[in-house]
Amino acid sequence: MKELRLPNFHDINYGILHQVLIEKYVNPGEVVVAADSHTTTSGAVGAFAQGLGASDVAAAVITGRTWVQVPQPFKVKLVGEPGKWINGKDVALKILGDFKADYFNGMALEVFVERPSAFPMDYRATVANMGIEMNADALMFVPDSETVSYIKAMRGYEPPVVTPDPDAKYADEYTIELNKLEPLLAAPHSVDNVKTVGELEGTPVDQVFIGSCTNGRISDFVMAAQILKGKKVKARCIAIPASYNLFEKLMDMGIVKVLADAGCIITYGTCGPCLGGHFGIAGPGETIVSTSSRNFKGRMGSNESKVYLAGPAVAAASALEGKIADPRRY
Amino acid sequence: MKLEGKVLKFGDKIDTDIIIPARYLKYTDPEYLAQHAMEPLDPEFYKKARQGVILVAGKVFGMGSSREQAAIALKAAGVKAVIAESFARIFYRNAINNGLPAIVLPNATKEINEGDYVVVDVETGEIVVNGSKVLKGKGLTGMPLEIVKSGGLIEYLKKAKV
Repeated sequence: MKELRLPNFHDINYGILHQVLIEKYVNPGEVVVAADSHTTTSGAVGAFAQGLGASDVAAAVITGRTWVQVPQPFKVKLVGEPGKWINGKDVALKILGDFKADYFNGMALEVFVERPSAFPMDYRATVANMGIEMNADALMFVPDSETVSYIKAMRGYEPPVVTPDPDAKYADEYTIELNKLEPLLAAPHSVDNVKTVGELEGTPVDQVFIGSCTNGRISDFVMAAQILKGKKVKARCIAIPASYNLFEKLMDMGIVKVLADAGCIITYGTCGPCLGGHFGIAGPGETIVSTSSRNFKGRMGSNESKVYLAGPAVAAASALEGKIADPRRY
Repeated sequence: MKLEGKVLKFGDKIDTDIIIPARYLKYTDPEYLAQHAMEPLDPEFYKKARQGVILVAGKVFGMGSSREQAAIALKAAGVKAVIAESFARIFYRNAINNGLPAIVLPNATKEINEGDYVVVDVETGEIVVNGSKVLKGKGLTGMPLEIVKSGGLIEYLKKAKV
């Protein structure tokens, strides 16, 4: 690596690529490509971000160029304020449930937030992350005061702000009233098989995973800790922050201790069991509640396991009760 | 550029964890990856594809991960081309970048059946089913066509001497 003289080489102890990118590098209006599908996460700060295959990225590095098919823009409006246990995951699942996973193929979603501080960067990162699950070509949050204050807090400078033209034309538009959302899950084996927590309550759960580039940020663990504080989990519970920076902050905040005392297994920033690689691979017949982004057959391990996707509040409540549970009781 | 073979047919939303599960991604040998292609849905897929087949599928074929091994595994298994009602963006590029032609054909799963024999013209997108029925898909033109003809993106870039 020294021979290559890479100026920004991040070895282990940094975290998941997508989280490191929004913490340290990406500005509104930039074009980002990387060799992982969840590169869409950088849309949270208003970048046009796409995952590509390894050869495509190698070609972009060598030639400094790539090609894109220009997508059709689609407008999404988030209005009002979300309830206590609602976050970005419920918004992503609401869109997937209403439109299904093939609708946005060839489109780029532009998300306008009515009250910027009511839908903070963590929530935006979750929605942008799951833009790939919607098969959108890109998903961008229109930069606003929240974007500027996030980048300023993380990096100490005010980023340039690029916003859509006021007379921009959209294929269509869609509004989500945040105050009306209830906790949602995606049932096996499809990201668009969306159900309310009430429809699935009581389903026995073997393992809960709170983490990933989808929902492994400060507010996710704070939400989980509010439910788990002073109690003991009944299902195996694995908690993994998305980056080392977040892990350190969560230690300083005392959140790591709250989760550990509740019986969670906690480790430094990695993808964890999300893609069935390590740290909690699903066994045959097991049921998992996961805050990650995909519940495809065999995704987290055995082809005979089942994965329910949810936000951190449903995940924590389910870990506590050993079955899918409604966080609104806490 | 024409390709032909018997049809193996799949439905909508065939994802990359179906095409090649993540537990095999640490292997780089295309032949090994091929042996596990489509395993969660059809453990016999590799045997069926050996003879050289055309894959037909529904909507957003290849959705999910950016893993290029999805295209590599299918091609090495014996898939000559994929015809789908639509493709997930990353898979579509990965297929082309590995010399595996991807043809878009709305209603593909209604018009073509498992076991049909099809001839695909990669450039015009014309598909002849069982020597009689003619369908019009979206073929490859321009740079994607040149990449496929070169056998993939790496070979294309070597030839272009960039």
